[in-house]
Amino acid sequence: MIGIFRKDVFVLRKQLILIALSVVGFVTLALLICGSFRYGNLAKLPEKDYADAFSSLTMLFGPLAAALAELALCTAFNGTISSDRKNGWYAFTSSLPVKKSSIALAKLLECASSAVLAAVVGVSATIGCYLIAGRTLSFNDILVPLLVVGIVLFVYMLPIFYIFRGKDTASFFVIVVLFVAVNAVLAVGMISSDNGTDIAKTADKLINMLPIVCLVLLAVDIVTFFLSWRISTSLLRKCDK
Amino acid sequence: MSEYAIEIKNVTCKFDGFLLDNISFSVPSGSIMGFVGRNGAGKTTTIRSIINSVTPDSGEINIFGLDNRKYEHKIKEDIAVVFDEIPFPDTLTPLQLGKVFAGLYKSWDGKQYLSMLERFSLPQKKRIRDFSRGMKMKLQICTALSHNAKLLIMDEATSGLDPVVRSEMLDVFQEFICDEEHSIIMSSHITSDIERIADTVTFIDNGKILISGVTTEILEDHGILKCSAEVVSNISDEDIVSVRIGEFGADVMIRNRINCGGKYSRFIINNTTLDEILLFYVRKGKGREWSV
Repeated sequence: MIGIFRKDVFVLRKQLILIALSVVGFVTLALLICGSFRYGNLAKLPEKDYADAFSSLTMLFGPLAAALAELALCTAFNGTISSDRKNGWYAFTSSLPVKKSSIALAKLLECASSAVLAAVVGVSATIGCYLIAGRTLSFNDILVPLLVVGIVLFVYMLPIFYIFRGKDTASFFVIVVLFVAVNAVLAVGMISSDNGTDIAKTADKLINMLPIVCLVLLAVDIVTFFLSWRISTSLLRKCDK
Repeated sequence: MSEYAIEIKNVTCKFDGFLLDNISFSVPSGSIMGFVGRNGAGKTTTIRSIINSVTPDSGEINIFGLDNRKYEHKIKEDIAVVFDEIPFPDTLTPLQLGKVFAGLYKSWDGKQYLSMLERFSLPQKKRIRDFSRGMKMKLQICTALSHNAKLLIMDEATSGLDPVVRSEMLDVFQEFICDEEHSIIMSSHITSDIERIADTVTFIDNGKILISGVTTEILEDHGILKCSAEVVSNISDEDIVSVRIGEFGADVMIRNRINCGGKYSRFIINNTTLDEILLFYVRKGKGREWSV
């Protein structure tokens, strides 16, 4: 299975360097913006509310960095499914001492590793941004990027890339599912809130529930991992036959 | 060590609208078997059955005396497959490919791989996409022969290559089997290659085995009997494979040439080639006599 990892890393080497540069660039920009909230012209705004409003943007950068890193990495790794099929690698693996389940597992582990990396980037960016902006960091603030990572990981672990045979339509499907999932969470929050139209209250309520939501999401991701592993393995076998 | 590298017994397999019909043959250890048939005859399906990427409906396939499904993982450490098209990502370099394979085979021999690359004059740091077809095939051979495989399976590996590269490869294959422990099954429709190196040969058409045996015996056993179209009826059916009727007479592919030499001494019986034997056996399916 190490060979499968190595192949994907070698194939994506240039892409991975570009992704790393983009993420580093984004985080650097975020840190600079957060610095400007504290030391730049934004900190000198006469209206305190405006300054606070800008400063509250600090909470967005960590989750955005995590999402950027994970989306880019998972899309790149899952994209190899299509190229592997086109150049006959899947047919060739039938001759290797590697089980189909290991091939499916390798792809899932690549997504999971991307998620871990994205979580580290997201949490680090959050802590950095809060420190530079001089805002108080709570436990829930750290959980927000982890929530984002968990949701994106869930979608990328679905065996749809095998169902779509690794085509670009799979990525489009992922975006639709992500959009529906995020909106569903917001809708549930809004319906259950006292004032059904107050998005700020909804967000507050969701943030208060974050520890539980993250735990549930972790459990869902673990179950999805194993289910997806089984389904992807059987889909790979079917494709081969 | 098992007597046979591959033993296929009564394998029937329906795959993608194609039927592999009760085929049986074997590849003795330490030999090269040519697997000959026209395009779509069932060569690739048979090879896919051997590597268990297609599951037969019935029958038995043993590799090194072991069931190919039960001991799939163990067997695949000892076999290497070379396809007609290179299946590796074309953005990789041979050096990177070596590192990939080191993570796939327990018995990967990095030194052997590098020396094979050197032998074939393949650049280590050039992308596969910039290789010629001949270089790509050589690279496949390098990977196939660098993990101490005991059985090399080749699916049309030499088709589309120039005679110089083909000859170079055939030399490597002959070296590979010289220690009597290694075996090769080589599917091809370039029968001149098969005639040159194969110890045994198996013909397949429409998913059925037409003939299987030692190459020299098959060549010695068959011949082309030249006669006029009118005299063909005098030749016994059991001696005839099929008859090609041409403008200037008939070419009769006969089997059991030694007996026929005595029986039909007034006719000339010429030597034949694997190409012609395949042609006459394939045509036989459409009737005893056929015209050019």
